[in-house]
Amino acid sequence: MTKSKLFDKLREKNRGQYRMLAFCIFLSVLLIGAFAMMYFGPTVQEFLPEGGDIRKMATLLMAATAAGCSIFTLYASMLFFRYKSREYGIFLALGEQKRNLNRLLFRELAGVTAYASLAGLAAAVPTSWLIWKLFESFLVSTDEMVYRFGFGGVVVGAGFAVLLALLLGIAGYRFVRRTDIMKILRTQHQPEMVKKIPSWTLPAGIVMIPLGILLALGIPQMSVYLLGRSAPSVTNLFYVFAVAGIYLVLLNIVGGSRADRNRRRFYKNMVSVSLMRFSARSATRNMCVIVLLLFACLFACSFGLTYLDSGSLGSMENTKGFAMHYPAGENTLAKEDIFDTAEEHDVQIRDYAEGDGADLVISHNTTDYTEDGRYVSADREHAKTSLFLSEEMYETLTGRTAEVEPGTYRTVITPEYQENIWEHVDGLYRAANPDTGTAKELSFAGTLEDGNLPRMSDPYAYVIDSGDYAELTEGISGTWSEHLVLFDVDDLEGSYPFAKALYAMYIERASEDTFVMSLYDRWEEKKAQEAGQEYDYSGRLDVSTENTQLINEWKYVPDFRIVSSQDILQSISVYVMLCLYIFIITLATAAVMTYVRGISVAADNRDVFESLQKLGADGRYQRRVLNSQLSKIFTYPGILGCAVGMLFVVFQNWINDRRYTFSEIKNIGILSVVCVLILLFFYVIYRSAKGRAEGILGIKTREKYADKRNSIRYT
Amino acid sequence: MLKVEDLSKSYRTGDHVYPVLKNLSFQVEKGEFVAVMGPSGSGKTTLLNCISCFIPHDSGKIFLNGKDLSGLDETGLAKVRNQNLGFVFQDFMLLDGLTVFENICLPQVIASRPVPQMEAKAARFCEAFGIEKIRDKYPAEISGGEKQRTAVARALMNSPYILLADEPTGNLDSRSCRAVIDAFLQAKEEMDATVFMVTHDSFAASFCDRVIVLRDGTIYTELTRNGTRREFMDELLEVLRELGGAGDDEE
Repeated sequence: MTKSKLFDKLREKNRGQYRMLAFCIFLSVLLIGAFAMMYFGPTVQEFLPEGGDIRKMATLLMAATAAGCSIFTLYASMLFFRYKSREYGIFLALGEQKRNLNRLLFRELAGVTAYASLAGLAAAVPTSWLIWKLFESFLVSTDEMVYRFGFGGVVVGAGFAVLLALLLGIAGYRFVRRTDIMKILRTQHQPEMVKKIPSWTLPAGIVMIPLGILLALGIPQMSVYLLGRSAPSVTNLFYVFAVAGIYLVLLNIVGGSRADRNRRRFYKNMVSVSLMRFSARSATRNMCVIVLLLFACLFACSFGLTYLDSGSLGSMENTKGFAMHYPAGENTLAKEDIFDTAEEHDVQIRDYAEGDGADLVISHNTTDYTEDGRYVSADREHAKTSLFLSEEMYETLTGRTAEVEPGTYRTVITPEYQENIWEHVDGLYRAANPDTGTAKELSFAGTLEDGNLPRMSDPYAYVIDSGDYAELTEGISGTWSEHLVLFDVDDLEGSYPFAKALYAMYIERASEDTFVMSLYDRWEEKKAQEAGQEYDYSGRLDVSTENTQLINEWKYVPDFRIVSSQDILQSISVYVMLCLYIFIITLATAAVMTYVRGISVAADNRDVFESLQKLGADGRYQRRVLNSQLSKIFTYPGILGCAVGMLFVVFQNWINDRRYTFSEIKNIGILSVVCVLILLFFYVIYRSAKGRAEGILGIKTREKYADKRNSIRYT
Repeated sequence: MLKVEDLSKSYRTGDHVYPVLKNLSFQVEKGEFVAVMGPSGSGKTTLLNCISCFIPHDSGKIFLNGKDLSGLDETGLAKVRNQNLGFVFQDFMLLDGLTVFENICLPQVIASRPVPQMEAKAARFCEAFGIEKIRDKYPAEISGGEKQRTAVARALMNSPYILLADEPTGNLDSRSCRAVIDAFLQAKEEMDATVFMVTHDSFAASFCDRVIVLRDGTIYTELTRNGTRREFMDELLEVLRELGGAGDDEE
């Protein structure tokens, strides 16, 4: 028998601990590795714009993910070290050198980390492929979006594994340095000071949680709309108020005594309540972190759902699948070209309509943002141009009537439009011909809903009386006219190849003069030139048939819904994936922390349970005490975390635009299902922790013997 | 064998300093079986922990076979614990993952002693302490008395100068308690072992050659056994009655 054989045997005995640590390392490396393989793979790297916001966000979120993974692995290592501590204490008492134990521990940690990391990296390759395929099922599978393996991801995954090994090494070093023979040998429970938790903590906490969230979300909005200025960032501190509320609720649950109300229940739960009260502070802190993790988990889920929605085709109410507008002189695509291309792609066109509108100079009331953070009303005379249609043309293009009296106008808004602080649907008061200067005072007569036209003009497109239109556009040159084409197809979902081909044709035939930025306005440019000033939006975009990412950049970008929906999906897929990752990681961290806390209840209170046994408590009583502890650890943070997450999402959705859209209600429904699934997942972890804890306390073994004795007695 | 000179130890809680051991001096001869008794807070467990070097003392000296243990570094202490001291703890401190036989071998495994001699010695001890039938069993499968006899055998594996026992019968029923005491006596008689035991159990202490009674960190009295065990136990009980009951030591 040698030392190494003895250690092998001890390892074998405690293989559950090694397995758990290895699993956490494996999971961390797998998650980071799989993500890095996708993100640093050639497909995503070539797809994402250089130095763009998505890259910054992705890097930031990946760092947060790595931090989350590190935290839950370190937390799992605490349980590993807790099991090791008794073993180490005995070895130290029997004269083993600390440095030998150090060496052994680091060898073991290095071994576990190396094996688990290699396995994690190896599993990351198929996992990244699988996740990619999953996302591909949401997207249209194109040649550019095919999965390509990136070695850079392996390097990042391996780098993370090294970092994890370093962190575990530091944790191991701290463990050995802090190993105190006295503590281990005497295994005395060192309780915290028990202070009476006042009963007001529960109602105070319950009020503080929603109030904190409501104030943190609502004050910035109220400040803008009521006071006309941005709220200072210090209002975010109201979130701390909500966190303090969570702490108070949990503190009351953990350490509060309700002896006065129900004496019978008090005595029934006296032991389990007292057990928790002796570690009230650490238990509350721990549960608070679990609540916040679950909140982050639901928040990530809600964020992912919102992103996913932004890429869907939506309801398409009053919206045509294909819409184009371009300067009238361009003559980009003839009707025959469009129909021929549709035929080539076996696409049936319907509701085809085309016609002209005019870019008239508008005078309107709007909102400006001053340098000192105030929102002020601004009257902009002859400020810029907007698209105007006669009521007849509106009917031709949309197939819907628009009744507009002379001297009035109707503002065209999208079906899902919600008014904001900047622009007002009734802000326009005068329109003018940019060539002749003929102007006409107009008054607001209401809105019209259309999914395509508002996208063609800023701030809005307007419909005026046909007589007024003729008067205002008399003598207008082609420069200020736009040609509009709108149509639908029978199978929009299946029209992607046709849309792509049409998109390519549109760009090939467009002149470079139309490659202007979406904020470009010819009138503003003209005025700037007359004043001898430089115009900020004069530049030309690099438009190519391959680049379909110009939806918010190019003024005359074709509004082909199937293309934009797929493009949005492609660009948001990185976000959705990140949200999914954060969801998994926060949930895993919360689960590991809760599990460890559950096991600690048994490990830390072994002597209490022994005393209970000596006092005549049978297995059933001990199990009840244990279950009461464990269920508190799992139930309260689980329910509170989900409730706070849901509350936040519900408040946020309302405060954003003071209404619930169909998609928001749908997402709240999905989140509720996710909450139920999270609680079920916690229940599974609870069952596992319960079994393990009963094993540690020997409850099962004692019950088995008791059953045996009973059966002998009865036979 | 063991010489304690002017040993002092105090604990500090906030601004308060509580002296636990006050200039304590005594000696234990080779082959002697000595018990330390005293009421709660008298300092008996602290004394054992200072001798074991588990906690540092404030002043005074502890000599083990003439060697001063004060001021030894970590490596030196580990060597002393492995080679010169044998420990028996109240809750046995056996490694659950190792069999009885493997637990007994542990001190020699740590010292990297040759395997055949080690195994032969462990087998001898198993036989001597009546645990050969359970040698391949795990701690979870044996009784408290058997666990403690395993712990005694383990403590003797490296032939230490002295065996330090901390409430060795504290967790045992009367039959197992007798078996453990017999193991100590056997070690003393057959191996000339020196045993220093902290206990609140006057029955266990009555088997000793000498009992040091502590009160408030000083030696209240020392009793040496001259007559029968029964008479010695009566003598002990009388002294403890004077002190107001032995009580548990929960320092």
